Amino acid sequence: MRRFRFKVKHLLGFAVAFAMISAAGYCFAPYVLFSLGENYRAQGETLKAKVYYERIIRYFPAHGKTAFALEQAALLAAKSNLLLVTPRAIGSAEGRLGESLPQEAAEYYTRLVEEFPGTQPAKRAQQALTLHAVRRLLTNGELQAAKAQLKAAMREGLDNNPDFVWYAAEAFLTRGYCGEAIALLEDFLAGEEGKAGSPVLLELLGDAYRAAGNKAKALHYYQRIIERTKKEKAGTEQGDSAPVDYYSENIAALRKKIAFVTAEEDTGGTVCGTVTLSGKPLPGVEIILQPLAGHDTYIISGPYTGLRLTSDQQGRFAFTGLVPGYYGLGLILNLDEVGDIVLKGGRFPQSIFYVEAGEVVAWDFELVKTIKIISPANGVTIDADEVAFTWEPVEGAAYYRLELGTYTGAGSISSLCEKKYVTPEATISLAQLQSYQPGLAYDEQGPLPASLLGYLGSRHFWGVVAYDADDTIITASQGYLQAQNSDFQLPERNMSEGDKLLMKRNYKEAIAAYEKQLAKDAADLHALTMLARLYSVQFSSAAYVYPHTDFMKAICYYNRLFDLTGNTEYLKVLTGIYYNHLQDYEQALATLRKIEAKTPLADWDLLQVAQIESHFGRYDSALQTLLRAGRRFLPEEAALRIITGNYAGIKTKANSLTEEKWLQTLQLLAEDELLLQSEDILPDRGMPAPDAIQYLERRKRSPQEELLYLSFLTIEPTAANRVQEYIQGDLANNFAQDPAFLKTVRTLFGE
Amino acid sequence: MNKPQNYEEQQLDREIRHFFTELMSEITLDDSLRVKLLARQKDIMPLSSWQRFLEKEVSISLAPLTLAAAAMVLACGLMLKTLFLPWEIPEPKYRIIEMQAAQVAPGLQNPAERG
Repeated sequence: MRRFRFKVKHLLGFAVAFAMISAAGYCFAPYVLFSLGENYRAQGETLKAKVYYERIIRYFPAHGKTAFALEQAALLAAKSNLLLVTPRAIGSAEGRLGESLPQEAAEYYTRLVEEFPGTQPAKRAQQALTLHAVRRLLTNGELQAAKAQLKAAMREGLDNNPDFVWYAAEAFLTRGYCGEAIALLEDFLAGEEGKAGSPVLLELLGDAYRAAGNKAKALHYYQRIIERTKKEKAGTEQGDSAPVDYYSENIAALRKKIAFVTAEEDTGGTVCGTVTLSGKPLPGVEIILQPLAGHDTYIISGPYTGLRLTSDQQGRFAFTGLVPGYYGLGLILNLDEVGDIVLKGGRFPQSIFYVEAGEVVAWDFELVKTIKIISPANGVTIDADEVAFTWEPVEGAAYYRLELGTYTGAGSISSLCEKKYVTPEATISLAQLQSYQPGLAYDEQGPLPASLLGYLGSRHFWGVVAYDADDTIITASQGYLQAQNSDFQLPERNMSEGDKLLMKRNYKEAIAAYEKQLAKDAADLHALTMLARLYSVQFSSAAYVYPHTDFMKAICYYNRLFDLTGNTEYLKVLTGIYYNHLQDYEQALATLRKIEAKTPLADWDLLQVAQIESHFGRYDSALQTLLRAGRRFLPEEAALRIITGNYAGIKTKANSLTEEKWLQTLQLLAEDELLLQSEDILPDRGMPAPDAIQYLERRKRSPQEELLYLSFLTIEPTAANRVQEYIQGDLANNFAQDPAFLKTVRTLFGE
Repeated sequence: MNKPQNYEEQQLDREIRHFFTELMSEITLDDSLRVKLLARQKDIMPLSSWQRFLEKEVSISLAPLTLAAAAMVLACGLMLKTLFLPWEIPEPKYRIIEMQAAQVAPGLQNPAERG
């Protein structure tokens, strides 16, 4: 056999080279792994990213990059375990220095602090652990232990970090320990002698003095920020890294605080409540109170704006000393503790409110377990002419409503069906299902084909929502997690030529193909439906303007669909075209009447009827129509009662805090004998709403005329979208000296 | 023990001997060659045991060499796979749905988009 001869020196050379390459690999592999992890994280693939961080931790435990890998792994662990629920958005919670710290993240941080002391990641980990411990101790009322914990952390070098100081001071302040917050901030700012001081720290110090009742000091610090930020804006101050745009972003809020401190009546408002899970108190839940610029403005901004608290052992929380204004209340839940849950009242809490000076606003978060769905089970293909839905019954449920959704290729769209089911089962025929239009989804290139196909496509999902006798949602099958997948598929249907072209987003040729299909068979429901949908799309973006909109053709096709099937779903879409796109209210009303002849109108349809009747000046009839709705439309009912002067038959039962306040205000109006009626102000009581608006706009309006003007704006279909902007803008400025009037307006029309 | 040589090897030996015999008969030792040979004699140092060890030749047959190379390639491949390729991605503990509350439109209540 052939043999190879090597000198020993060559073999040794090879071994040494191999060892050096291995050593280089050991040194550089963690960098490569970390960079791979970062790439995946940037793409949103957090699970893959975490795998790479964990490999660094496992195979290179003593490497310098391991500290960073531990930190990132902790952040991802927190992100995947924490659920943020706010009135406008729901999703993973992020943030290193928040109140909540899941066990897994805490373990990574602890290892980081122990094994890599002195490194920057270890310092940040120490901050997170310390803040978590301090907040927990403060929530339990252990002030001395919290102070000792903080002091120890400060000795270890955290005292020069403004972020840490801000969060620590905020933790003391929100729990009512103003003195401790002041001491902490003053010490830090004293250590920065010669510097202007970070605006966020100065503002918090002002807040702390305000809470402690020291108005002069509070004003001093607020003014200092304004002076400082003005200087920065003018570019006169150099060499400080404070954000220049702080002035523009926060000055309005700051001026509100100054006005509040300088006002005689300076009792702050309070937002308090409880968090419960299946009726039992849930301690340790992070509650976030976000000051808002207005009712419709909900921005979850970065740090320094939201106030945070943790629910105590009884699940209670209370934010006190609040400056009057709009606030949004949200919470962060540790999924390891709560599992698959949903909020009673609906997924999105309706917890945006205006807090008056001295007012106590109560809001309870009631978490409940989700409904277990039975069939169709996940992944089932329906092989019948109807879909039978079943689910486990819910105690206390008066009725259920189905939620149906479809995938659009870039997410999904779902909506609640109007029909109510009193037993935990429902059946929908395929024809009925396919007539539903779940809503359209778009991207920059126009409408997404899958959303246009809707339930004519293949993959869908379902859920169910349970209501009590007061029409309040008590639970639902779909909470905040994809825990119960409920995808189902409809029978395979051969795609028509039009469908194929549509899937390629060739809208023009798809329309031509459907027209051709229709020429062959005038009763082809699929072609009719698709043509009706394609002609009723209205879309424009910077990249694309949809050129095929033709509402007249769409109306023609929807009418034919109704004539052929008798299905009122097609008439509902038709109403939308008349009402929203063409503003042809006579036709919209006629279509609604056509629907009513076959089936009772849904609440939203009744609202539309009431608005259309108001548009034509038939306010008494409009009010009676509105009162037929099962749910209460607060601003619209207030508007019609003010216009008609009819306060009879007000339902006194309030289902929410907002409704309770609304009811009280409306009753005060009803009892106000000096209140002018519309006929006292307008030349004609039956003046159509657009004319009444124009008439009142030409006048310098008194508060009573202003109420009437707002009522017409609220109920008139062409003006309703201007109401909130008007209340928060011109009205707030014109009546700044009359807070009682503004409060009345906000309560009646603010929601 | 010497192995018996075949005919080609014996022929090669004969040719080598003949070559040396011819060369030896032509050697003339002049002064310059003498100086050169003496100088080379002077430079030649005896090898240390470590150098002798380094210069030692090791003969490895093809099979173990192939095995060793294959093992190394395998080890490198395994290491690369273990470290750099995405595998063993765990199932997420929780799949949180990202949702935005949409504007409430007539006919739709509590609509939401799921990402």
